Amino acid sequence: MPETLGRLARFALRLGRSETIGSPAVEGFYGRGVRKTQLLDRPAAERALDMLSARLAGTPFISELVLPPVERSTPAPAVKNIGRARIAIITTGGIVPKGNPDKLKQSNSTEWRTYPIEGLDSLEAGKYESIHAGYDTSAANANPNYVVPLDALRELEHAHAVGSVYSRYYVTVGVGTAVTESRRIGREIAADLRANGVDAVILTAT
Amino acid sequence: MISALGPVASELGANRVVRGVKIPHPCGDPSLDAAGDHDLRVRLVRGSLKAISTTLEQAAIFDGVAA
Repeated sequence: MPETLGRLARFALRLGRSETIGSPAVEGFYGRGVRKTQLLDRPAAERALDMLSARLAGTPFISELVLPPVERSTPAPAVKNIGRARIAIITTGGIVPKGNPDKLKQSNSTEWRTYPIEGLDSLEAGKYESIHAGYDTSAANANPNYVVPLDALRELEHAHAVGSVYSRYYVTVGVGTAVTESRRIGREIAADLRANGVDAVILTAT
Repeated sequence: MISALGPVASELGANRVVRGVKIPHPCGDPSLDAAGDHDLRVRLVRGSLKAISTTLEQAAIFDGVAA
């Protein structure tokens, strides 16, 4: 304890004097994920190749950018009777009614929306568009079913391969989306699915 | 999840991944004629329903056009 308090006190003095503070690894404090731009003497390409060589050789290296850990989940139980199930379509491909009436952002999304598809056998070209900033949208604009496969799912509904297609589809834009926002969007959509008796979803990504 | 980047989706935590066609058109192929493209899409969605009906102990990637 005395040693730790001494280190804390000396550190506090340096902060108080607005001295330059180094990285958590050097200074010994818990990192907060704050990034500071630095000029280094070797170009990034060389540093990256050194890391790759180390990875291939199985020798230790320190990543300059640490990715957030992946949270794995247990696979949901299989749907037992798909012929009676209510299926919803979700897309991160940014398909919205033409004109983007709710002004969904084209990247760095923080929102999601649903749009009605009751009585529609497919998404008609010209009435929908893709606002996603991360892929060439010409194919999706010519045929929105390439991203929201309503025509196919409706056909399978008529053939009783599924019980029903939920009356709305869900959309957000999946490019540059912060992990924390993605988690929140996912939880909110899941709650909406449960509230509306949806048994399973088809999520399309672009 | 239907994704053209199946292994990426699986690596990032998606448990049931069905291989899509390509990033800009995961559920279709504009190089096919209308009938062929539609048939492909129906098979892809049918494959997704199969994935939904399959019990899994861990994440799996499903062939996109399994009947």
